[in-house]
Amino acid sequence: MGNSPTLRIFTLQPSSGVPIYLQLIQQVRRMVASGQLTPGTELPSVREVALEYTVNPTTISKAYSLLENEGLLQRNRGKPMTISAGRHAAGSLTQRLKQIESQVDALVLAARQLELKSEDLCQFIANKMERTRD
Amino acid sequence: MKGIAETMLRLLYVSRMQRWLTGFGLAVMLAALYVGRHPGAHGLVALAGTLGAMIVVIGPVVAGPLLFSAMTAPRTMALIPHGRLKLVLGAFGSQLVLAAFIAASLHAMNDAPTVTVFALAFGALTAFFLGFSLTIYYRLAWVWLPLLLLAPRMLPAYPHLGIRLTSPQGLVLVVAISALAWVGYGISLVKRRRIPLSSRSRAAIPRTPVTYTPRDAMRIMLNGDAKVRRGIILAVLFFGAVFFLLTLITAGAPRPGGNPALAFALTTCFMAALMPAVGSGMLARRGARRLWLTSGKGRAELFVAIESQCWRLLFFAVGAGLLMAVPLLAMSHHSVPAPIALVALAVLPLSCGSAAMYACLLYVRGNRFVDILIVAANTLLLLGVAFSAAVSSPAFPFLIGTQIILVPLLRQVAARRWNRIDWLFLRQPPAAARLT
Amino acid sequence: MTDSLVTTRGLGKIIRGKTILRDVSVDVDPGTVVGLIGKNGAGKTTLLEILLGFSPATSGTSRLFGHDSFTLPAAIKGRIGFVPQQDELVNLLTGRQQLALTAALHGRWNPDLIERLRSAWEVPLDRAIQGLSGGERQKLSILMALGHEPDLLLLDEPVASLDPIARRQFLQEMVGIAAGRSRTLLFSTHIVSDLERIADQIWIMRDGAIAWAGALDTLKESVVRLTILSRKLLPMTLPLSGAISQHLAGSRASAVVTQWSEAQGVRLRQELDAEIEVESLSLEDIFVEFHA
Repeated sequence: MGNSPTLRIFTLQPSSGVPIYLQLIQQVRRMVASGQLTPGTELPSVREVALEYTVNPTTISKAYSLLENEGLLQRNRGKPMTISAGRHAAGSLTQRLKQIESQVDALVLAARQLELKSEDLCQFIANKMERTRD
Repeated sequence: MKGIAETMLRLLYVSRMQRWLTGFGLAVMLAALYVGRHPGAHGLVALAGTLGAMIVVIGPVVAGPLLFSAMTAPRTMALIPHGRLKLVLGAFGSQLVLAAFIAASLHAMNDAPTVTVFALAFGALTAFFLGFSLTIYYRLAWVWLPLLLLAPRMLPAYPHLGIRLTSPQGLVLVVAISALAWVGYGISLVKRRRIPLSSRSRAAIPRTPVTYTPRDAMRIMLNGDAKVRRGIILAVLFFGAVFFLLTLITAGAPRPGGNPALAFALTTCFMAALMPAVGSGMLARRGARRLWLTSGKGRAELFVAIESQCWRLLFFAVGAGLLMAVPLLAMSHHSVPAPIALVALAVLPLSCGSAAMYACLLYVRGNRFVDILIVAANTLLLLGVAFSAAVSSPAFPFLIGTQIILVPLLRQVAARRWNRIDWLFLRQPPAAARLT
Repeated sequence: MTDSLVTTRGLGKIIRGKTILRDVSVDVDPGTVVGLIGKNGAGKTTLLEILLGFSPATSGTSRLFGHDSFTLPAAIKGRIGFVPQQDELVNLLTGRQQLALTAALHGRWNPDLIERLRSAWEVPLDRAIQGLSGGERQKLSILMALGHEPDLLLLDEPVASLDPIARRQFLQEMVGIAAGRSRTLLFSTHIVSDLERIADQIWIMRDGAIAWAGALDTLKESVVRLTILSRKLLPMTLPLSGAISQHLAGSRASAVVTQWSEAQGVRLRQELDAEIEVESLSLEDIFVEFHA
């Protein structure tokens, strides 16, 4: 049982306020959206992840189950879980926006504290996106 | 100054239990003194008074050096300015106090000459304390215990030595040598750069796979040591040899007050019984905790297992003691002792030893007044039995009868306590506290 | 629904007039990893001692595998492993002898497991235990508790003396055991970050009582720090349920709450007409907040 090539793609921070299963879910969603994880890619088993990152296997299992419910992962009997095909890899607009909702909340709060106007903020963001397009 | 005084007090009041014993003993002494003033008082009162004095003194004398080595052992002691010096001075002071107390109480009880007793007591205490402290690192310290009982017996056994010692020059010599010994010990302790760990790092034990039977495993876990029997044999051999030698030297010489050989024989058997009884009893209390989960036994079963363990050791020790004592008696009487004498010789240590063992085993609820009372009363009785046996007092049968009756009673109490034993009380203190 | 392995109801312990434990009612389901955190003197060790039957409870019940803790039968004891805070090793023996003793007493023993761990952790077995360092002694204690492959493993501050590498190795071993799903672990420790890795249930003990017991994930999701920025003046007491602390300054406020939910967030935003930033906390922060 060799190491799965995808074993070390996650960055799990146990000491974060975000539960581990949620971190895993968010990362898998992001990587699927960005194309880093293509449909059919095998994911490491619960046990492998738990041992590699020294985290509780229950939390990994929970993450995988929730991702399976969302339709992002596919359980293959006797074989490792894979990214499911036949779904729009990018995810709907609402889902993608939801991913960055917490950052946006923080941004809005900071902007308010600095008494920035929303038009200025939006322009600023648009400029940034323009510049990082390439 | 405060450090020295604190050390002195600590060495005199070894534990909370000892404070009670001291109070108890003092009360007995004062009562004996009071009664003794009345006309018609007899020897038993004086005996009680002396025993009271012994109770006050025995704890600090026996446990003092143990405590002292525990206090000097930590490396942090070397960092405290003049720490070790204060400890030695405190120890010195405590032995002075003890010697003074012994002299004062013997004077009050028997009109013994104060100065003589003080000097001799101080000499004996010094020899014991320093000898014990020096040998404790080699785990041979317990050999000093019988010397306590040996010392007062030696004086009547060697009249010439006695006269020379009790002469003014002799006394001065004793005190001087003792004082020098303290100075020498103090200097060596303060100067010591490295505190030796109280372990002998033996050569590596072979790597062959080790297996034990469950019964052996239980035994070792309880005692904390695989070689208890060897220790007992060594101890018994040691003071058997000492007494043997003494009997050889004094053989044939009649002396007033009875045959020293009998006293020696009794002492051998007595010590042989007491040490394993109390020692294994104390170890068992904590050791049993190790067995609660691992051996799967219930509390009642554990008690029975511990009890049979202790009895086995007791029989073993008494047997070894008898093996020493019988030739001793035979030699001094020039004839084989009568069977009934042998039985009596065996009954004494067995009864006292088992009573001491159960008293030790029942002491599992921490320092409760009732428990302290039971232990103190039993100790008093024990000393009474030993004493009256040694001086062939008429009170002996009465006392030993009481002791024998007490054994099953003490066992009942101990068994009941063990059924509800709360091992939270018997945890070892955390490592940090162990240093202080 | 499987029966709980460990069940306590209203457990209390009073020593010399001082209440060490009060009304502790918890359950441990099989296959879980429970982390017990609390300040020194909060009663963690006492709780473990009572669970294992070393000490009788003053009130309430404690049951292990369905049996009363104080009178556990031998068969049940064989399924339990315990690593005490103060090791109970016999100083004069060597590690090898100590392990052999424990093996002899238990009957069931897995020497391959012990050897694998021993060499990974580099525990010297042929020196007298007296000469071992604190960390080595602790590792040996752990080995002694694992050898008979217990179904329930209780550990009282098992990593206090271990260096970070040894701790990580130990945690990996625990994860391996937990991944088997057949064993249950109950840890008590100060090192909160270790628990964040491997625990799925957390019990927070405070002054002898359980201040919080439940899943770690739920704990992190429910206990949050709020930063509130309102357009108007805030009321003196904020309408927060389960608030542990709050600080007010005009139209700004911060608070730590223990029962956070999305619904509460929506309601609060409307009621206070405010922006609310929700910050989730690490377990260590949560622990500190519980003791603020």
